[in-house]
Amino acid sequence: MHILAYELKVHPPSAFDIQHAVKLKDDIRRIRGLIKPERARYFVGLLALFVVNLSDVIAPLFMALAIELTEASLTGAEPLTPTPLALVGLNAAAFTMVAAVVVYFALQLTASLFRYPMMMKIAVPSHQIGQNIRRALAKKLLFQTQAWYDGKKSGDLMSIGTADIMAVRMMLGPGIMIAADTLMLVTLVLIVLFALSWQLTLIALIPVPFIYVITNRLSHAEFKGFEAVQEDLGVMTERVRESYAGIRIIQGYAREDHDRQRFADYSRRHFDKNLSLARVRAAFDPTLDLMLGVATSLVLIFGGIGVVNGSLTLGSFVAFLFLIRYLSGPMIGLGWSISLFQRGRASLHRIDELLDAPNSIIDGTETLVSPVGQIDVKGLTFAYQTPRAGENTQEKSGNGPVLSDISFRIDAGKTLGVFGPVGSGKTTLVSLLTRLYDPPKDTVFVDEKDVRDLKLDNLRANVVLAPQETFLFSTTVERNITLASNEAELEVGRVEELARLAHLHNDVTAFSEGYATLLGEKGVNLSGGQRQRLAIARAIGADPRVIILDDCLSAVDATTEEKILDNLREVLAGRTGIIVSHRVRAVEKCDEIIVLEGGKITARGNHEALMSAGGYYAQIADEQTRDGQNGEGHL
Amino acid sequence: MTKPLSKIEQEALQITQDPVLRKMLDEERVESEELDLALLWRLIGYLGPHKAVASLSVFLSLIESFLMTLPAYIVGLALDRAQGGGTRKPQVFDQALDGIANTFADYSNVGTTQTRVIVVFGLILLVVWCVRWVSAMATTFIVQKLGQQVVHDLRVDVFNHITSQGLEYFHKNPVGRLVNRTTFDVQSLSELFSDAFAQGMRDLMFVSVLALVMLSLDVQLAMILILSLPLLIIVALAYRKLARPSLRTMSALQSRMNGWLAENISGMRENQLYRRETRREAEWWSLTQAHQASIYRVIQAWGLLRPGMMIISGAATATILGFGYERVNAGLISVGVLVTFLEYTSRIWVPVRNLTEKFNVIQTALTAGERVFDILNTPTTMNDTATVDTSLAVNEGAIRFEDVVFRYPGTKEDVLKGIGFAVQPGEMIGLVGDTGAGKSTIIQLLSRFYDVSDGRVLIDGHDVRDYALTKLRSGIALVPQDVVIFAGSVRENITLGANYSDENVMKCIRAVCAEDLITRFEDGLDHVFDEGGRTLSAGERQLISFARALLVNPPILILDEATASIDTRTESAIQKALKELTMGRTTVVIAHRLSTIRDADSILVLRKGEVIEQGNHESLMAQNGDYATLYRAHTA
Repeated sequence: MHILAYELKVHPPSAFDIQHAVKLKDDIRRIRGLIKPERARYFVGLLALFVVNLSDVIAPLFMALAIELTEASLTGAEPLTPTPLALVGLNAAAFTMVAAVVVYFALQLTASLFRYPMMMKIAVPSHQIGQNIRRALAKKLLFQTQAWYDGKKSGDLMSIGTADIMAVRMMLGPGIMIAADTLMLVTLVLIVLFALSWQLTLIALIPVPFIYVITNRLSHAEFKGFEAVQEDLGVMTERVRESYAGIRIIQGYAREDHDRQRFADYSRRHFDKNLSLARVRAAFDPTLDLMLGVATSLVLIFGGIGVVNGSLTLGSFVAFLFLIRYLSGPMIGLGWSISLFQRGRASLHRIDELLDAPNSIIDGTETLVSPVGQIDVKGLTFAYQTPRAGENTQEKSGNGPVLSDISFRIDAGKTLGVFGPVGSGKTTLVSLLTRLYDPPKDTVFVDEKDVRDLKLDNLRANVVLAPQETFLFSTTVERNITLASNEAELEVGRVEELARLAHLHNDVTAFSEGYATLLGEKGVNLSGGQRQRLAIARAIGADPRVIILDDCLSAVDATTEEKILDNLREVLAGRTGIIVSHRVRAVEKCDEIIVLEGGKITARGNHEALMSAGGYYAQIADEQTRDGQNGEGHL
Repeated sequence: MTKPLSKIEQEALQITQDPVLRKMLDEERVESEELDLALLWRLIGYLGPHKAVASLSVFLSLIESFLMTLPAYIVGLALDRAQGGGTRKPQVFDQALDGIANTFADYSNVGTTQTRVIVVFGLILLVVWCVRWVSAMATTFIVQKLGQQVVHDLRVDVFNHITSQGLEYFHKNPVGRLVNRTTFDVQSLSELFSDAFAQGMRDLMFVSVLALVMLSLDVQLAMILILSLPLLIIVALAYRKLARPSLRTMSALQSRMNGWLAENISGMRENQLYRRETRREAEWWSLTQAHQASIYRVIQAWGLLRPGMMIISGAATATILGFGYERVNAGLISVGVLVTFLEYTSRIWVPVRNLTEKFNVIQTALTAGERVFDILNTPTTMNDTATVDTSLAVNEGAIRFEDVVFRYPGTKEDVLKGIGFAVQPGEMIGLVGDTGAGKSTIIQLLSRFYDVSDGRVLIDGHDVRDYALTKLRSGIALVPQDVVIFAGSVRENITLGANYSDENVMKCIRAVCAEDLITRFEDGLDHVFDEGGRTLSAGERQLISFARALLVNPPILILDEATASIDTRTESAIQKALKELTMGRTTVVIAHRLSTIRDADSILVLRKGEVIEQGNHESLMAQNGDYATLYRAHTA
């Protein structure tokens, strides 16, 4: 119960959790469903487990028999038969010492050999089920929509994809194995022990409930301590990351000493957390050992008296000593497997919640056969449904419409400039064109077809967006550039050509491994300007009918910007283009420019028309050319 | 020392075709094959300050080892006293234990003397277990504490070492990598310490004590058990050989999969925009497939290890039973001694098993340890020079570059090719030029983030290398292009930990027109920014950076203007703040804004590491060179 309560505290229970926490039946059905494809292997594994346990429990009886034979040969009396063996009709006198030892070893050998199929047929399939869940999860994630992602934190998704899957795996592997082991072993050992001496058995069982309670308590405390350490490790790591990332400031202001002291404090706190965990761990094994020790002492006292009285044979006594040890393992295991099941079920609920989430964008059915790239937007008004988690751009925080009554047409082959201040809805507008978000019905058309009716794959093959801040994958520069390209048709030299068009080639050749250089954690970092240029190269690589550049040159210096714009005009020849920017220079050569302010089109026309109209556009153009107000007059 | 990739590693690469995984496996492969004694020795060196506790833990371990051998011994002795079967050679412990048993048995007259003796033996056993319980808890805790203490000391050392590295180091090593070294790698050394080193010592002591006790009981039976140890070790080594490549592949795949998931969640928009969904799915499929294959091998190796060890221990038990029978009959040992030995058989292989099971953890920790010590072995590049004059401080703020040549370490091309210029105290100089012209290099040489390759950089007439680094840098305030916001209060972010009164801090905040930033939080200066100050706009971050610089009130200000677009509202605040900030200070500015440049006392136009034009706005315009062309192009 402790573990469950803790789980609920970490992840605030959703209605889903509470509803399901009681539905044990449903869970069992779900778990059976998961195991179903692997059930044959599980069956073999459990069978092997049974053989292992049976041999393990019988072997000490033959050890006892050997002791009886030894004792008998010493005293010259008739050897006594341990009760369980006598019950199945065996007689000690029929055994020679060699036979007893050989049978003992044969049993040990059987137990050992069957451990192999036991491991392979339970642990391996449980991992396979884990992989199946991983695959289903990734498939779900890959086809979920941006609107859905807006309501999620990536940390939560990660924890479902890693920790929760692991918890389910642990439930299906060790959890099931330990549970089965406990059931089988306890039953078998108790049968044999009761047959040997039921009085002594009851006495030896006295510490057992304590073992269960201690395991449950301590494993709960350990789990909590472990979580605390992990959490604190995260905090400390973030601290370190900041110091290293901000090293120029720290060194530049000569504040290393302060920063070091601060880190030492964090490190000391982490030390303390680890110490609390160490306290629990230090108590764990010794305490369980003590319980076993208490049982042994009880057996020694009462069994010893029995031996003196003659009510217990020496062999039975030895068998007892060895068999009670088998009880402590399962008792520890029982507490453990119960917490594995508790954690596993809670994790399974979170996984299922994710897997069962409906897809909010429904794929269309039509395809553009010979697309030309005419864009029509008719009376588009749009508001975000989910407030975005962890982001604070003005554009997305409000509940009101981000775009109101937007209409325009771009004829095939023409270029549209979208101009406006930060937060005016520019990015939202272009996201709707590629259906990253779903526009209302009958508002956005490509070649006179509603984008909602088009197959997503077909739409995005023809309308390609280069976002303002693009994401780089931790693979080679080449693979990053060709992300949007059709890999099957990639010609030799195409990557370089794309990089040259985006003025990235010289940057790439400066890297030690050129286009094979890895980006990200294991490789190099790109500057903001390089990232933007890479985004442009990517979009060009897709070779689409419509290219949308969402403010992709804001971090590129002016000279380079000019050269890229020249190249772009070449690339755009024969294609439809949309250039989003807050710089007049970027949009001034477009066939038409729309000015967005507060989600509304406040002016439209070409550069000259807008300049002479004297509105926001002309005002900004004036500022940007006069003395670089708004940070746009880059030298 | 690069070994070829193992079969399982090749298989994983073939299934996944993943360049990142290849790099990860390559990095792992460079590790040394054998236990690095130098590394362990160095780690032990960290025990130095904790000698007393370390000795205590060794002493406690010894006691514990002894206590662990006692129970089986007592049970055997009690049996002999109860049944009296066979000949028990008199032992030292026997007499002591018998003495205690008989003394206590005499206090009562319930039952026979024999049963009373048995009860007392049982009680002695209980006491032994209790003492062992306490000693085991104490030892485990002390060892853990020692390990954590070592790790803490090491962590602080690594952090201090890294933060005293020059900027060059940070360019070569991505932050993520350095962070991992400082936290995760150091942390896994605690496992090396407690699991390998400390546990190994405890196990070794236990086996030694056990061997002594056994030899004193019966040499022949003892030899059977002692000789079974090498067999166990052979099995352990075979397992190691079998499991190692699979374990390595499995853990590499695990971290690759975590990385894959994290980055594809973050980059989902790109995946969808560029229709990568199906391909990504296939990538993931192949990763899980390779992962499962490596898991199969790991479990297989594991599935062979346990049975292998159990067969050996089973064989040892069977042999003890057989030989024991002979020796009891020959009157050499008692039945009780035989039972004691049987009990010991099941104990002796536990240490070997422990070590084998922990093998993977130890190996990972060793590799981590190597990486950590590599960090500590890299000498710091930026230190005070031998000619340092600690009394020097930046007072006036006169700057002079004399024929400065600079080349980044390890590169061939000069970034600065003989730059010379001078700035009088209180003046402003603007640096103009394309990316790669050398603007950033100039400001980095000024704060001595790098040393010149040739020529001199002088401040107030002294070479920057003659200043103590901290003195030099306290005289220069840096306002970088990308502002770093630290997790912490507003106050801390502005003072960067130095002692300034709130009044003083507020004055600076007001001066840079950022008061609005503070008053909107209820807790004012105590307001804690979340992770990296995400909620602040680019302009607001700039203002905080200005306040930082103003608070230090240095003679020299370095300003690397932001290129990113800033909203109009903050822009005017920034312009006003800039005036306040630069007033009465020598200012070096990398200019992106025309307005800043026009007011500069002089402007350096740089191209490929050379000054091509120099003068103020008017003279440069009159000169009608590159600057004029550039300027006109932007104001056309």
